[in-house]
Amino acid sequence: MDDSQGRLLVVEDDAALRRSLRTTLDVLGFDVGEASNGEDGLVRLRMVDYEAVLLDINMPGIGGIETCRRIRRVYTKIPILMLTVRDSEDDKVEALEAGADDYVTKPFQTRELTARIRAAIRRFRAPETPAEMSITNGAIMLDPVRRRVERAGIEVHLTPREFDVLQLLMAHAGRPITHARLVAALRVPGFGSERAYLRVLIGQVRKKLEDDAANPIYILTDSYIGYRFREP
Amino acid sequence: MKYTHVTKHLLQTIAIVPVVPLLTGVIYLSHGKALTAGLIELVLVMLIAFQWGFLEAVVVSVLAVACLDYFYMPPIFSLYERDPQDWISSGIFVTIALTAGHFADRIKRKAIQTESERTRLEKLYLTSRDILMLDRSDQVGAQLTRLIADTFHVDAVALWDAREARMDKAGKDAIPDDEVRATYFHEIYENDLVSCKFKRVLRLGTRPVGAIYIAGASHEDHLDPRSVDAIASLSAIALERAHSFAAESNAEAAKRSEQLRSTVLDGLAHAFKTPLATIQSASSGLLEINSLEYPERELLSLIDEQATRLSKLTNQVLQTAELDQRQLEVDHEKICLDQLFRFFKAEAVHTLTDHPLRIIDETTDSYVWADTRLLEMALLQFLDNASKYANPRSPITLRITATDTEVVFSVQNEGSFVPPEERLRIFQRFYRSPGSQHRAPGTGIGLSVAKRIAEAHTGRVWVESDSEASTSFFFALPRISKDT
Repeated sequence: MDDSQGRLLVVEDDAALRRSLRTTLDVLGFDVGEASNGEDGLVRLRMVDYEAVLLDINMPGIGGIETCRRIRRVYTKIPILMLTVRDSEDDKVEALEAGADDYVTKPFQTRELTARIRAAIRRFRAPETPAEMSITNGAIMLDPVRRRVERAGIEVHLTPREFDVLQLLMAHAGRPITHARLVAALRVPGFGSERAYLRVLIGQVRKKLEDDAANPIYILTDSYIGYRFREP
Repeated sequence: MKYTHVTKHLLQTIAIVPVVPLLTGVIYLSHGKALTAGLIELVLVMLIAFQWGFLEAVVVSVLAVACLDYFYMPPIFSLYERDPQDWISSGIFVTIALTAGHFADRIKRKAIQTESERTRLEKLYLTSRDILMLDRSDQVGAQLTRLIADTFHVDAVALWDAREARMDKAGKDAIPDDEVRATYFHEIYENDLVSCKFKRVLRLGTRPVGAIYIAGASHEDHLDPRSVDAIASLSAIALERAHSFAAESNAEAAKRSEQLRSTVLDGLAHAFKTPLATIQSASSGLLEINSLEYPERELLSLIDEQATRLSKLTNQVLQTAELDQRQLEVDHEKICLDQLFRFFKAEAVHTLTDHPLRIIDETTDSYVWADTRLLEMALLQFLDNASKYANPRSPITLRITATDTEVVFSVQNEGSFVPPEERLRIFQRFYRSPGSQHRAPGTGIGLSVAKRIAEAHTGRVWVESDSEASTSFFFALPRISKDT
């Protein structure tokens, strides 16, 4: 297990793309398993102890999103990366809500893909951190128990809602969090234009944490999807 | 035209002159009474008036009185009358003869007139029916002149279609082109009854659309100014009909060809998408494995870059195809301009490659109401367009201004003059300006998408360009109240 970058299952219906992915990822040190559709993928997952799944969203049969949902029902922790196409934001959001951890847009650059896979596997292998442990990412430190945030050792004052948003994002650093999930975490019932409110809130947090709020390095925007905290 | 007429009348008169004395003489010799002779003469006058005309009738009645006087009124065989009663009866005879003759002539004229009216109407009716049945796939002007020449038996017809600048002629005589064109340009309305030439400018409403020139009708009773008027207006309508039919079928053809191109292009893009993704995955994978030396690596990068470029184009085609197919749904939301600028700054790196982007905000309120995604798409299209056509490394300016009614985004770049005749066309789908085909990559779709997006927002797009300095593309949105 240690000589490998990780055991990865590629579920993709296009044989040529599967072949290319397999060859590349193989050489880059991953143990790659292949499945050509969702049903097959679920079977292979039962046979081999994979550490991550790369799942195409558009496939014949039960399709990527349903496959994702079924995997998540059995394996709560395994990272699922969706392969999506451009301009399918609704699909991406749906996949994230079905339990996917992240998505990569086709056509992709292998460098970006492998970085995402490595990060996912690293998170998967990392020991479970208790919820009350403080999180450090770059110069930002968040202490969930005392509800304190420090930037480069200096305390930053956040409103309770700003803190909630930041905590959610930092706890899932590297992964996109959908607007809907962030709004739900804010618990602002009947607000009407929650998205706009969220945008304002994120803007305020950025002002407090980022050097340049216009070019953020911590809280990144996934257009039309949501936000993600940078990879630790 | 009148000469034959006059000759005819003269001949008839000369022919009748010996008839009257002969007739009276015969009656006298066969011992006919004066009354019989008088009545027979009266009938003759009426018949002649009815058959030939009033003038002949006058001559005959005068002659008849003279003959009656000569044969019957004492002193016989002399034109002299002794008895005043004879004077009176002669006078009465002439009066009755002339009155009867006059009425007979009137009736005849009326009948002729009615007949010619009927023929004229019939001909006009035939003409209008035939105009409806003109073959619209063939030249209408040529058919029309032939039709008029045949139906009205005229010597020559010429028709000038001003919109098509086309002259059509029919008939055996030649008509100088200049005269027909002059009829149009000077808006002439002319009836030359002596040489039988008619000139008309053709109008639809008040607008002149052409001219018609009809010459030398050999049967004069078939053509009169009123008929020519009717012919002129029928011709104008026929021309207009032909034009609108042509315009309609052109529009239909253009629409069809665009649909066909879209279908083909979309189909291709769909088919290209997956293999391209695989090529990119393989090339970028090979680069990532990083086991290649300089020349191989260089060539591989080339494959990778070009595959990326190709898949970008493919995506663009698919994206716009999708926009085209569905009714654009505009989801109005309050967009913070700062956020928009952030987006463009982030995207500018990919889109504008060599050109620095300046953003100038001249609005007072820092919000616009629009569909974020569509607005971004439209403006990115403008930026992309600007970067393709701008002078190398020149700056590109995104400016936002507000008027009372509109928020106007403009993207300005140096160079790339757009001539006035192309300023509307460049927003049409698949239109690429003649010079640009070999200069800049593109599918001729982007700007049409921007236009569609603007229209979906009930806004508008336009371009301003001067050959010296710069070109600006504008995207205007109606300003929606700033509170809410």
